[in-house]
Amino acid sequence: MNRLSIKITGPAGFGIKVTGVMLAKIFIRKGLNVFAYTEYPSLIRGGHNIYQIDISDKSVNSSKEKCDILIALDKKSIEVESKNLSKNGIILYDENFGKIPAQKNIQFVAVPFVELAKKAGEEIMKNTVAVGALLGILNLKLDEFNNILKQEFKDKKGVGEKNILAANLGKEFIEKNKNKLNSTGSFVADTKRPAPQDRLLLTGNQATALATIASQCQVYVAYPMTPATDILHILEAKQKQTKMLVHQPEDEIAGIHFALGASFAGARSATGTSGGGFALMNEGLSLAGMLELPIVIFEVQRPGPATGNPTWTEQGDLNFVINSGHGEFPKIVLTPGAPEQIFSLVQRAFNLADKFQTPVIVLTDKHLGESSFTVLKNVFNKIEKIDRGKIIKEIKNTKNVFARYKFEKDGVSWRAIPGVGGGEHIANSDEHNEVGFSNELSQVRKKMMDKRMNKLEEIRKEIPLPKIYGPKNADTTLVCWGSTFGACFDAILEINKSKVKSQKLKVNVLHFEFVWPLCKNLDKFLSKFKKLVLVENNKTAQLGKLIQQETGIEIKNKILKYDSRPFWVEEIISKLKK
Amino acid sequence: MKKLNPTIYNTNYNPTWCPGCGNFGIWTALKNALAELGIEPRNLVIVYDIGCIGNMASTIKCYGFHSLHGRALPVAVGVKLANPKLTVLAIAGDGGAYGEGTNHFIHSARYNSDVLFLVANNRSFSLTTGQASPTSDLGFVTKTTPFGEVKQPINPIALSLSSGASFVARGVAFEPKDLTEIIKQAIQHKGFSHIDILQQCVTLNKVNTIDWYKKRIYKLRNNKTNNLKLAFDKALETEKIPVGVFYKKDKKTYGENLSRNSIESFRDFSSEVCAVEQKIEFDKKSLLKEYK
Repeated sequence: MNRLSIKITGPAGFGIKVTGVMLAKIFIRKGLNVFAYTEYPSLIRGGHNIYQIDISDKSVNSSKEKCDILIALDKKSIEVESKNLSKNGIILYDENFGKIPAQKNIQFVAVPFVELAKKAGEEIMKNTVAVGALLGILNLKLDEFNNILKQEFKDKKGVGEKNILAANLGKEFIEKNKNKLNSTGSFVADTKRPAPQDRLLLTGNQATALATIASQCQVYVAYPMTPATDILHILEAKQKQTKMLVHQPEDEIAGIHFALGASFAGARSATGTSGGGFALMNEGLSLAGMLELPIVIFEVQRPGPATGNPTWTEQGDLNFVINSGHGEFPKIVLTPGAPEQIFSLVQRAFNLADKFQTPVIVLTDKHLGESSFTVLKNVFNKIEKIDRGKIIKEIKNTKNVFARYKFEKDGVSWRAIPGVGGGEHIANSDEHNEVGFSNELSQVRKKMMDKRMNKLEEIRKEIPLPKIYGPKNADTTLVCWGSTFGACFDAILEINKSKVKSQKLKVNVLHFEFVWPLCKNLDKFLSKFKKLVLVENNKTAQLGKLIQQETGIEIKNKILKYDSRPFWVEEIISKLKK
Repeated sequence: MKKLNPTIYNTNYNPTWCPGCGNFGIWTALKNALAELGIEPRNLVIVYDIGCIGNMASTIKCYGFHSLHGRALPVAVGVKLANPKLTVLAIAGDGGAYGEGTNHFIHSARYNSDVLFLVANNRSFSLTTGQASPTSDLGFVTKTTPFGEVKQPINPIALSLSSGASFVARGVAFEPKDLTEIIKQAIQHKGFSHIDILQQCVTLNKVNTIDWYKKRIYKLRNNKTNNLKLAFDKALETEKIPVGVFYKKDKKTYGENLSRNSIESFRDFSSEVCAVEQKIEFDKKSLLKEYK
């Protein structure tokens, strides 16, 4: 089968996301793969919200620009979205919108959403009617939808049953009027595919929260900021179960300092925010570098500068994050591109922070954080062993002053945590000597700088080469980091499957999960590729600049997008074909 | 509780303050209070702000945290929540407490986090060689206010009371015996304690001298410390300066309140979560259920 793209649109407050998630889960449970993308303006009521589901029996990690079926929950949706429909696409709408003028290459299907919802019990169930109608068009059984409705409304007596009735009325209506449709979208056979029960529908932020729990993080502190807030929501909601201490501070400055206090006390600690909040955290980040305290920071980017486009997406903070914090100190920046990568890299982040006693930033964005992916359940079996690094449990000789910042070859000294006798010391934001006391001597300063920065070289030894996806000897290689992985991966799937040999473009993807420090010998590695093309969701090709700065290699071909929207898979394909 | 000898807190470093600095009195009172309460250095965390008083960091043996300007409190609140078994203090000057870190001061009081906040208030920025501070009096002449301060000073006691602090007191740096008693009470109090300490700066504040203070201060005696309204009345006095404990109230601490979120059987606030010792449970089956 080909990819199918379904979009639900309407004003905020219409329950578009809830309906969208239920619809996506139907396909997941039928053993298909789903990628769900959501657009919403920064408001609570009104506006134009979108939930788009791309479905395939192959891997799917991005959205198409043109959708095949639109469920329009208001009249405005038709005006806004009809240009974004594929040829002969279907628009399902409520007949009470009034007369809709015919348009070329669009099939309009009027369904009395509200009337049928009222018949089933209440007007609010019009979304359920719409999904029922959609399943009718796709010739799919209602079984999984019914199960999901029962589960969704299990705490509200009778509501599940009423919704099941509403779904049924929607589907029946389509079946009665099917002859009016040219194409009934017979693309999905209602057969069970292998092991649908092993799939989950998960956003990047959900994966981050789960990974934080799996990493045994004991303290999480965050001030709400879109699009990072979901991580805080989940960790707050699961406290009773996980026993994690979760704190919402007065601001991001307090947040990072609170987390550093907890880290000093010996707890595994993390904080999360978006670009603006991260800007506020910068002095605390620098403090972590000086005190050599482990901390993990999630930065879920949104378009800046300033408030920017709060509910949209961009990869504009890469250079900022790598260069964040005043002064020179080692830090680690990781950029996963999918929930599976998040689940493993966040665990890695906590271990690296503890091992090297320095801050680790996991940089994602709205597109990765809030889009839903199909993830295999067994991904969550891969739990990395916790490594808290050099922590002293007991000190025999308590007479000596504890040398918290003892010069060690790898730059990492043993640390004692409060409560341990003999380990008393100052974690000192002033430059200090080996025992933590303030010191301004030139030779001490130089030695301490060398000690801390040596860690960066030790870290570099652990950084793997960027991963290659797709054919080994490609003519063209897409170079990306973070969330652009999804669209690049889907694009090469599409391009490489072309059966006509002469038209065959051989393309692969090179994805950076570790952007700071960059791995060793990157220059040699990159020089082996025939043609590199940068794909970044920003204006200034920030990874490109970084690679040039570190290796001298300039990647001249660039596909850049900075309109607050993610890459649609067609965009990359068409640019490559040129 | 076994009393300790105050020398247990000694380090190899001596203070670098000017002779006659108010910090000496605070330093002495603090060590005496800690020793009398038998608090061992290993269980003591002091978070220092930046400023002259922050340089106390090198002179007290304990788990010290010399933080950034204005940020001592969030660090201290973080330490205490992560490990409630520790005695946690934050020490700042008037610049850090009532200027750069005002937000944290108000909110830490509001949380009623169980930390003691000591503020050495000399009404002047001194480590930066003399500028007006948030508690400088109107007309105070400094390098940044050559024609006299025109901004209204903050009233630390009133601010603390209105923010929800559950122990509020004013001490005097040059009366270390009284200060020792107040600090002892504050450490023993469970909840956010704030002591604003009137302090002379012999080098850069020639107005608010020991003599100036001696003419104005009087000791609070037999005042009803559980009455917020009376405490406010006392806080608003300006001609004479009352010193002593203004307010003291038993309230649930932030740690106790938060623990209720993570302990299923939590009923009586008797136990508190110790994050440092907490095993985090990743119950995959139950956590993943909602994503099917």
